[in-house]
Amino acid sequence: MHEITPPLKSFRIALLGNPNTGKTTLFNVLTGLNHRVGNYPGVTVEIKKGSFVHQSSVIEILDIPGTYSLAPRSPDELLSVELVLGLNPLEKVPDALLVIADASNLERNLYLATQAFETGLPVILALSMVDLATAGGVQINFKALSEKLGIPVVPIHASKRKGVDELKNAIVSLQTEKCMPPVPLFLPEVINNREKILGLLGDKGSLFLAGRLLFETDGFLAQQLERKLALSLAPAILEGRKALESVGINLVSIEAKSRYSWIRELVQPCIRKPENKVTGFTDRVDRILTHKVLGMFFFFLIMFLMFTALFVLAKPLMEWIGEGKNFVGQGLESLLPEGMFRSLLVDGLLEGVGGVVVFLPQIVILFGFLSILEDCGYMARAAFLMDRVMAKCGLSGKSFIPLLSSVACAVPGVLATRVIEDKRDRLATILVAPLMSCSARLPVYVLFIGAFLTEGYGWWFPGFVLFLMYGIGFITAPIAAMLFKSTILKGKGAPFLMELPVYKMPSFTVVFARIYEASLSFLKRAGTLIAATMVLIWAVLYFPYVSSTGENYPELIAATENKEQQDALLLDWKKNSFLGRVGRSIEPVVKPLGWDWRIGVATLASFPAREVVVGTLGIVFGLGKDTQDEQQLLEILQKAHWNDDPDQPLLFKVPSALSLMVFFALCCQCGSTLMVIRQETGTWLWPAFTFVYMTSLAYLAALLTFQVGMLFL
Amino acid sequence: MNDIPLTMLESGEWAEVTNVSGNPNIVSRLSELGVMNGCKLCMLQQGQTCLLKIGESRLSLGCLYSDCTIMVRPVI
Repeated sequence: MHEITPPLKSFRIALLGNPNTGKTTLFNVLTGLNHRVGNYPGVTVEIKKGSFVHQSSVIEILDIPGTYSLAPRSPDELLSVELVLGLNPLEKVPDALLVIADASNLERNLYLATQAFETGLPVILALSMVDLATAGGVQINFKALSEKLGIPVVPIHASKRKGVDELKNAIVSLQTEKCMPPVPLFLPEVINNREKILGLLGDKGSLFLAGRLLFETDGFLAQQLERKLALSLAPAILEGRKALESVGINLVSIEAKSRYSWIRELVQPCIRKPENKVTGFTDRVDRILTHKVLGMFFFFLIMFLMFTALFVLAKPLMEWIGEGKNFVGQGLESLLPEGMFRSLLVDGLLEGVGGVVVFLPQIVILFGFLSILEDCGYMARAAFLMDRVMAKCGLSGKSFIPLLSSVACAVPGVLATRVIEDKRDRLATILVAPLMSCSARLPVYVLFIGAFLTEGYGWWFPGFVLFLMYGIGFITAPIAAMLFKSTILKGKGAPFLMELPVYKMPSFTVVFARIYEASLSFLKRAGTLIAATMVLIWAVLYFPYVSSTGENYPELIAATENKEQQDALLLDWKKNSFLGRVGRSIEPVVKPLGWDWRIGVATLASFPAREVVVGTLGIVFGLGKDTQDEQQLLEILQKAHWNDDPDQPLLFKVPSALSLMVFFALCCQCGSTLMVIRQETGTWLWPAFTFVYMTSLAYLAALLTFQVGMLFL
Repeated sequence: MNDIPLTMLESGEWAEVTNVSGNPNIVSRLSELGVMNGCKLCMLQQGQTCLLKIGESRLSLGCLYSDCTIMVRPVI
């Protein structure tokens, strides 16, 4: 995929739309993979830029985050407005605006379009979800609508590529024929006072901006503009507002009232809606899925099915990857001479990185499930159901989506907290998001459940235990949030206000893109951070390879044919390696959790990235032995004895396996998460706090699990 | 006038909004989404967090926790 360098005369459009209108799908279809993420200081939103060539014109697209209105109330929303109006110093003014509107909910979606109409830029209207509208009995006369508005109106079905060429044609012909939209009607008093403010704004002004300043309830935009453009706006705004109030105009609702009545008048002749309110598919399904009792039942059922499927579907795929790794390992061993280099390659890199890559199928399935739930519209229902629960912890349903996303990975989870307007709510959600069991914990769960909680239990049992492990996060996170909200982050929460989209078939393109991005970043991580950690661990376990009496372990092992003697030498070597020494010195700390020094070492090594633990266990338990696949590591763990001494009892019993899983469920072992918390909170205080509280919690919980477990199991 | 707070509306009942008051930021956000004087809505799921139908959209609202009051007049 190569970057197209736009010639000097490229045409720039900004893409605007409400959330859940298929804006991202349209952007992806228009630009293909040819896009990048723009970087703007001081804000946390991701703004994508892309381009495409059509009829030898280069079109650049700026993807503005989904919004119901261009009324900025936060720095993130301000950026969107700045980009649309060309007020951001990093971007030129767009040449035109492309507004995407949901045809099945046209009036509400046109609200944003009426704001776009006032920017003074040419506008194209793309209508999505036409099939949904038709199914609901709504008929739209596109031609009449286009004539009424005086701008191109293009019905599209982006994921089926319907209407996309027509849309591209319309964009290209906009270069020569500027189609200006009509200006929505307001009361004469509003128009007069808006003109006065417009006069002050000079060449940066537009009807939209002037109106915005007049209607704004909290003075946020005015403050920002006064600072950025060095203008004195406050007196004129205040005067205008007073004048409007004196004639009995309610400033809080006048904008919405005027826009909606203008829309209604304009749209009415072009749209035919069914007389009687037919209760559509979405309402019928919602009667069950959002029901207090039934809804909850289905929520837990869906979650349970998801985690069971994770186990059942991924197994054969994981075995293939394991065999592939096996094959490469054997190939390398037969090609390379025995020695340090081969050991580094096979035991360190291949074993470590391969041991992590084996979990790719699970990542794919998990992200697939989550993006299907999101794209079909269920995720918003889950947030609705959970709002009541979250309110008890002082949070709102909006915190639920970041928490559920953290089930895939806490990094996007923490980023998803940006939708939470209330600062304290947002911080509390960030602090507890890493408690949710992420996909990196999955390898640990899968390995230990497979080794100790599968054989001799029913077919449903492994999935059930996995579900319980995830349950730890789902229960601990809200409790921790409640504690934070009632102590260090005291304050009233923001009200929960969220639109529930219509149910629809999830789009393959959207789901595939999510899976592709997640897998790529997982593999990238495995290839960099994890590979480096693995090499380091291999090294501190390999060196020094000479015993205190001056004997060379590798040579000694090669010299003897006796298997038992080889194993004894290996154990001695590992014990006296750098890592072995550290591990033995921390053994008193981990012993109450039911772990020996090797598990302690593996846990310690996984603080930068927790998925490393599986590979480390492979190295610690198997260096020199043939542990080329997951199944073998599983068997080695089942048969491991304390300190590798066959006379000692078995290392792992159910309580110690559980204590390890509980520790990993709650511990903060992820450098990337701490970095993203630093980025989002702007201080090291909160990542440090997260690390300390989670690690202490994990230790105590693991201790409790093992000690109580020993009494019963 | 038999205006009642939105929270009193039963599931399945239709009503017309007669007054929205409170925190101006929230009132204007609600009005952008179509919740304003004169609009018709249907209570889909009643409760502490309720689900409303307004026009073609479904809006979920944390009723008890928002610092704004919505008064409605039930319609038959």
